[in-house]
Amino acid sequence: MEASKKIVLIVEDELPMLQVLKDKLQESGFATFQARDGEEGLQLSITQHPDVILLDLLMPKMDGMTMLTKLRQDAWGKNVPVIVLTNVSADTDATLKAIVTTQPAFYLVKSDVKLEQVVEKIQQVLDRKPQ
Amino acid sequence: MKFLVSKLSFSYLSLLIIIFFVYTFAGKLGLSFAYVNASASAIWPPTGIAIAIFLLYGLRMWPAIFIGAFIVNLTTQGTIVTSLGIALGNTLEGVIAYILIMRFANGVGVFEKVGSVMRFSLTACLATAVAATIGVATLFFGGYTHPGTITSVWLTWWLGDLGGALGVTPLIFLWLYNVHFGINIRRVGEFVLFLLLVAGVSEFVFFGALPYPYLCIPVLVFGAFRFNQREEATALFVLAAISIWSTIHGLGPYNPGARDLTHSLLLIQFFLITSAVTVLTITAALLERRQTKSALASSEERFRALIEKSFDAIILIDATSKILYASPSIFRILGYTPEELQGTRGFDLVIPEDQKMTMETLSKIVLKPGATQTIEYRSTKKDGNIIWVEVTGTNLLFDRNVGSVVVNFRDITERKMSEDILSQEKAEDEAMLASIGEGIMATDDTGRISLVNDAACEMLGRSRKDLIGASVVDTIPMQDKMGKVVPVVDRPMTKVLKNGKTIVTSPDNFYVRADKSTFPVQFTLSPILLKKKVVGTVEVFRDITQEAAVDKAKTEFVSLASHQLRTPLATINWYLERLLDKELGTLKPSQEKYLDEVYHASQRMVDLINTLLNVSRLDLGTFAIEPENVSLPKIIEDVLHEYKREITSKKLIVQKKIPKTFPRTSADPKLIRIILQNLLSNAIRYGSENGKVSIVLTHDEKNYTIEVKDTGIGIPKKDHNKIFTKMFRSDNAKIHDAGGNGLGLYLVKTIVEKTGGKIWFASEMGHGSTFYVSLPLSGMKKKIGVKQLR
Repeated sequence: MEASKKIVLIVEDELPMLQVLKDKLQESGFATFQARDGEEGLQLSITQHPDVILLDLLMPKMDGMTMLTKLRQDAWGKNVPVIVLTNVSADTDATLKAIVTTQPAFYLVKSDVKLEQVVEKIQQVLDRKPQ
Repeated sequence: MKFLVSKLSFSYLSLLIIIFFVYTFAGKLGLSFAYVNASASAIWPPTGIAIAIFLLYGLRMWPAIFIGAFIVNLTTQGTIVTSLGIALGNTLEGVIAYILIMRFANGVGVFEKVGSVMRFSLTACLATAVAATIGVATLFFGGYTHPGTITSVWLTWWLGDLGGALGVTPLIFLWLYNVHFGINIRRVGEFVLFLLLVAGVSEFVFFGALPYPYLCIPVLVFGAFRFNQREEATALFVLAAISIWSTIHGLGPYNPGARDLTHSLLLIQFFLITSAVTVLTITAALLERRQTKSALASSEERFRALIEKSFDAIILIDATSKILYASPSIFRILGYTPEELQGTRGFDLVIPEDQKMTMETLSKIVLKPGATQTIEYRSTKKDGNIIWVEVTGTNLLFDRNVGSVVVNFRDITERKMSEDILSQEKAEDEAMLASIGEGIMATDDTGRISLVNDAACEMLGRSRKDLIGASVVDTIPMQDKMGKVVPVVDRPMTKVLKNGKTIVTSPDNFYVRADKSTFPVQFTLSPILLKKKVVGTVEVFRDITQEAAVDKAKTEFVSLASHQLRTPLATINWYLERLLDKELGTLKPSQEKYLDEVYHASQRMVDLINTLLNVSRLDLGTFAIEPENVSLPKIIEDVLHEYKREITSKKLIVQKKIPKTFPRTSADPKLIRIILQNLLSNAIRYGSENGKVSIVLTHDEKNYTIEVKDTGIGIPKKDHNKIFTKMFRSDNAKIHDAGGNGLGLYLVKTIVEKTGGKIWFASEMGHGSTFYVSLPLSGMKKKIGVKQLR
């Protein structure tokens, strides 16, 4: 893992999705960690301090929103850019409220975005973030 | 004085001349019998002529009388002065008689009544006395009579005039007054026989065979029973002529053989005057009686006809209902002849079930003189059929002329049947109204409830008693979705009463029950129009709690299902993306083509799912409007770009008419995109190969309009009103492209309307369609909602 590479933590329970995301991001020059549920994602985040977190919402053990909420309580975690990448529309009041409090950088619906666009968004987030 | 003179018309003058000659002739004839004095005759018909002429033609005839009398006297004896005096007396006599008759003796009807005949006789006595007095005085002062003969001259004069008045006046007047020319041969024959009889008897008496003048009286009286005054007057004249003639010729009971002729003539005159008064009086009396009788008979006949020809039957019964009389109409109604019913008991005609009621009614009527009651009951006809009758009974038991209960009897079977049908129908209607599951509520023109059915009462949790007469807006509060009470001015009831237009359910209305609980309501509120005026409203409503719950569950299901569907699709898309990006190596062109198809099919699936989600959000009413300052031309360009591939593959020519400078407006770009995407994708989908698609953007002061036009298959006329319905697709669209989901236009219309705009279209089968969307330039209003449309 090259030190200059930005690290993206992918939290995704669906293996095929995780796979294609990992492949695409690595090809696009990112280093990746993968987590299969919220618990794992939270632990990896706090220990590994990735530059960006791609976060699914509907996951076993701990869902994405709970993980993000907990992450925001962490000193490091409260500022880390998070891109929500899910198939759940931001439909319910709870979700919307959580979005407001946890401040994800983007809320992307998987079926509506191309992988290419995911990469673009990560890039945008990283560009925005002070080095 | 007007009645004394007259315009000198030809007819008046001719009449004067005729009367003059008749009068003069009669005068000369009369004076030929003057024996005591050349000027005083015991036979003086001119008096009668004068009175009759005045009665017939009025006083304006006086010149004929006056001149006639003057000439007669001047040519007889004396000077101009005495003749003038006598003529004055003769004229005055007629005038006085005329005035008195007109005043006291029934005028021209003088001979029709006993009383007036009496008065006429008295009048004649008086008037002729005047003439005699003036005449004799004139003669005396003229020196034509001696004081010793004055009395006999006066008496002769008076009686002569009186005879003329009583005998000749009726003869002339009755024959000339109101002449009818209808001749009844039998009557004429009878009359001639009567005259011959009178003449025969007169001759018998006055030519000496049986010299008893009173024999003539019975004959004349007998005539009075058969004939009228006119015929009697003629008979009297015949009697007078014969008796006078015979006496002059020395024959008969008054023959002058024993005494002088004047004395004989005076006796004759007495006899004739007595006969005339008697006969005229009796005739008048008989005539009066005949007239009364015929008047009575005709009125009785009229009433009988009224009763017998009356469509209703008239029945007279006594207090025990015994039938005393039944009019012939009863046969038509019951089949019995009046004779069959006479003497039978009226109650026997009533069917047993109704007898008690009729008996009670009759006893009530009988107790009170003059009482009237109308009842309806069933009666048995002679043939056994039962009919409905309406019967009005009036108690005239104490009326001496009637002495019974008068019953008006009418067949009302037909009316009863239609009433039964009507009430049956009404009951059915009411039962139907009560059984309808929907609430029905009718109001008057002030919004007060005039009718509610059971369902309405139940839904509103109020009794019918509470609702009838109550104002809808006051009694049944309406709330919106947020639980806010809808103000009276915004109530559909207020609007319908004001505008007279039907309002069909405005969504998200709740009615508040008596216990303050609410239920979602769906209703149709229509005005009741009478001659184009709103006279009330009728509302059909229903509790849609169930439907709303089902709808919500459905929407949530669609939402959840959509999420689940998205995951595999997203996976497919991403893997395809990687393959098509050739990041894993080059593909054969054919492989690439195949994968391209797969990718687009998958994309369509994504679109479908998103549309479904949007629809479910719209249906739930929870979508948000987030206006931004946008450039419409830019959005149009972007959307067009998205469809570049489809446009190219269908070889469509796109024409844009977009102003170079277009005011920026406040709108939710996502919603604008959804509108444009759907309209454009439809235009492409249903456009023809090599066809044209045009997009036109225009604006006026208030609105901007986006126009999307294609040259494709068009929309069938019959489907024009359904095209915006959810899931609707017209047949030609299904044949043309099986891929559509029937949601696009529904989505567009809903968005357009929720953002304050309008949508409409023009289309012709085979020639394409043009859709217009007009939105306010002022921008969309922000709407906070949980969900965004994507």
